[in-house]
Amino acid sequence: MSTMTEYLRRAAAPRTVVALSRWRAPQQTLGRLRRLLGLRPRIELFFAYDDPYSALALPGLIVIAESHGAVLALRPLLERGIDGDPAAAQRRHHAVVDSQRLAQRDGRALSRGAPLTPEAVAFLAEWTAAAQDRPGIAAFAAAALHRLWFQSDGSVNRDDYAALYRRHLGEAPANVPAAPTVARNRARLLKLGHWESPAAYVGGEWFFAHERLPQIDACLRALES
Amino acid sequence: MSEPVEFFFSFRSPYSYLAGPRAFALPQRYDIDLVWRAVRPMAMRGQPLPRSKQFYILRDAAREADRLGLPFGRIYDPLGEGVWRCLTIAELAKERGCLAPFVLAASRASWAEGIDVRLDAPLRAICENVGLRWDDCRAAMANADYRQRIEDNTARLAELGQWGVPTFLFRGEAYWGQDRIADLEAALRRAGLDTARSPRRNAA
Repeated sequence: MSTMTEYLRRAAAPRTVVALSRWRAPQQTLGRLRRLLGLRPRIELFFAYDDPYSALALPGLIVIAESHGAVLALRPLLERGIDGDPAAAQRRHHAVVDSQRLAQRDGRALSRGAPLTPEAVAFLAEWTAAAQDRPGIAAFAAAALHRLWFQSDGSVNRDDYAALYRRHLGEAPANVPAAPTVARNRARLLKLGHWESPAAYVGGEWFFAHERLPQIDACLRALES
Repeated sequence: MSEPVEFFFSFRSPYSYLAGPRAFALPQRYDIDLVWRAVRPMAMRGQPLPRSKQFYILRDAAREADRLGLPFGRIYDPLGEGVWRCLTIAELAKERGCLAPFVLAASRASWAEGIDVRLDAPLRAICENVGLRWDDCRAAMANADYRQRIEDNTARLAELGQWGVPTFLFRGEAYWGQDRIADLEAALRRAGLDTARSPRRNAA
């Protein structure tokens, strides 16, 4: 490899990525433009019901969105992670252990001690995808995640969640095929440049929502300035 | 006797760089023995690292560096021989009692000072600044025992069911991430290892 190629790969490219990430002017200009047009700031959350980190992220994100008058768009996922990742199973196990510790920071405890399979909660992803732009869906998703990870263990009872859905959306879950919407969410996640849950896309920036809530709040404040 | 806390570190990980100062300060505040476990980078042990993840790590590490008040951004990726040089010299530095100064200086060089640690002149300056003789460092780079230690550490990380760095291991529990040091510290406090409250320290 030539010296120039080496320099570009090892120094110029990563330095440019960092420098561009710190250059906020374009996002702030877009933010001002959106405000002039009467558009609200937007948080797009790609999340999975089988991911305990999502249960930690969503309630805080709802509060942040409300405090900034932002739209919180939910994008449920079934497939996530990096294709061919040899550590995928360890990551899922570690996410439960790590989430337990993160919950402990504010005095809470996870009720579930083992990972859930995506298949066990696929119906939740599909219900959410079928109603993903409706009012009440974020409150339902937060309540469902809370029940899954903080109030239950063992198998997932579909009827319990149907009742929860009715409570938050005022009707039974739609019996429409939403798997293509869930698959499109995954495609959009990859296209925008992320791979995992819970990933929040705010003003062109990505954040792992369970561990970067203060940074998301700061990003929205910067967009408002 | 102090309790061991194993510290798995990679010179190619910006998050390891961000964790370094807080990690090496832990034994000053807790009655622990910080056990150095340098490992090969993910990219040198078969872990897939797509471009989206590389970009996210750089952008997030920049945000975190700003939050922590650490310099970051003048990068010179040490992947390959640069990593091996730092890994082997760190083993020497450990034996000579200057592990923390070397690790902090070498990782800062790669992530914040734009220094190519594959080159002799800048690496020599880093080594000599922390009190290592360059001839000894050259010998360390060729030391097969040091390389084997790094392979053993890398294997140990995998045996623990862990893959990323920085990772801390305390009483069988792994804490992965520079932003999980707070959780490790909470565990150390629960274990009564906080030196400000430790009977051993108070008695001394």
